[in-house]
Amino acid sequence: MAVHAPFKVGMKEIYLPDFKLAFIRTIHLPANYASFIVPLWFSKLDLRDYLYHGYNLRIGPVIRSYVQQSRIRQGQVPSPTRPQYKRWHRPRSTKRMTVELERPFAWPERPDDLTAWNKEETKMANEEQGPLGKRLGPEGDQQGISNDRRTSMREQAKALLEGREKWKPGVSRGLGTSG
Amino acid sequence: MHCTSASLLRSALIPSASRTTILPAAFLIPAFTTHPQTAPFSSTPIAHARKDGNRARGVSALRHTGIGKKQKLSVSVKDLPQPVRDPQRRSKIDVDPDHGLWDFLPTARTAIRTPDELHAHGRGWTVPELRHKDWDDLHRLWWVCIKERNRLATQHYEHERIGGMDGGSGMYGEHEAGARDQEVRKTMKGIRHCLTERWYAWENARVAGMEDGEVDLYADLERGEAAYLPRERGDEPVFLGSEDDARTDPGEGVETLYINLYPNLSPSKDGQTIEVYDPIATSITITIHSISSKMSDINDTLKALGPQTATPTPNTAFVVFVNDDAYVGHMAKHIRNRMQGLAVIAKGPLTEGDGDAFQIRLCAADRKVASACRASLRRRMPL
Repeated sequence: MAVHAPFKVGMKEIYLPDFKLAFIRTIHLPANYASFIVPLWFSKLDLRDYLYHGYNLRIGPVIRSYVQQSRIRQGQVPSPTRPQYKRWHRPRSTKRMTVELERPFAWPERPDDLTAWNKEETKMANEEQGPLGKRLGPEGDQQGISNDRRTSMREQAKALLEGREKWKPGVSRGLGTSG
Repeated sequence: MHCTSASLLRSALIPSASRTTILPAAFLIPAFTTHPQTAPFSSTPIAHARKDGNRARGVSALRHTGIGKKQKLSVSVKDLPQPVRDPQRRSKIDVDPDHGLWDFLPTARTAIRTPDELHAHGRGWTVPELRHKDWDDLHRLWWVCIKERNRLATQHYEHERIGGMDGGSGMYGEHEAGARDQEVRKTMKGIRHCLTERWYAWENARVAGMEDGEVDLYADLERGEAAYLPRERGDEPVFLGSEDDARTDPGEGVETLYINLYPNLSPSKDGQTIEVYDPIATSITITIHSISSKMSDINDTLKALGPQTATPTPNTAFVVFVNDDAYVGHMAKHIRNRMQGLAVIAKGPLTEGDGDAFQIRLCAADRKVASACRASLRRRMPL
């Protein structure tokens, strides 16, 4: 760029950076503030330099930065199919930085209609899958059995005993019947 | 107080209805009216409180204390502007269309992309495609990839906020974003691979240039210094055969020697005999015959030499001159097969000229004789 940066640029030149920055919507802040999730080793000077040279964005003199420690949890990420107990760990912390912009930036409105993202379908699927997952899980014995299922089982048992139906293998546990 | 006056005063001060009040004598009245002289018992100076110059003491914006008693604002409290709490009633902000932060959001300038929009991408760049590109193009492409990854990271957090975490999967789009990110990362990996390849090629060339005697890497081309300074062929013996000749020519006890001759051994001096002396071994006679590189000529020459070639004396060497284009190794082998003992084949122009240099390849059946011959020739003809 022909124009010099409005701050003192460092000596180290990085041509091929290998990290990512996420721009976060902050509704509690005014429009002339922007917040980013940055790598944990990032500094305020790095952010100022990155935004200027990568996005041609001039920011105010003060950058606010804080590290958000994550809570201790168990299991692995990505979580495997079986629950992983006793693997207590604290996942990596997140660093957030807030900058003051020269010109305000307002985020576009969030979409009202979430049909394109199949929000309804996934909600329905989760609602159906929820009890099933609990039944198949480690606390499956503790789940109650609904009266519909009880009557349905009673009728099936009756039909088998009276010879109206013949038992066939192939239906796995829990599937094909509603809880 | 003095005990006498104390007892008197006590009876006077303590009101008692039962007892009749005893009024003190008139001469004692001045004791009550005049103030007694007092002096402080302690000699320590009393610490007086310093005037507090901090007008803002006790005022805190974080603790919501409000304005201090001594603070005067340019605006009165009741005239202070109040923030608009309701987001609907706030004024609309005109965002600059050239704002740098638009690069973090989708190209359509929506909050997040739909799964269909995320899926609409091709494959990443392959390494053969990237090899054609120069550094500037690769650098630009790298930054395009970086910005796309930032966009996808922004999308990820916004996706979670909108509804991605609702009881598990929530909303579609994460899988498509992951596939898109993977293609971007493949491109970046390819760029790194190409640049690494280029660096190794450059490094190998640089090392070869440093080690090569004919190349001057520190030459200043603008000032006219030459980077390539080819040496003249006469300076050093040029080995025009292959390095594998020694290996492919498995003659037992064969030694090859590459030496330079001076014009005093020009081929025009046919039949010239020079004597080389070796103090350890006996003297070696070198007879020079110049022929062309044709096999027929070589054979004729060998035949003409006659009994000398059939049973040569162990200390006899024959110098056979061949053309420049002749394959010296082949000649050497041929002649060695024909001639027992020492055979010397010299390469060089067949015409005499001053400053011509010839090369001799010495093929000896006897290693001892060969080394002696080499030593003698070296002494005879400074290389």
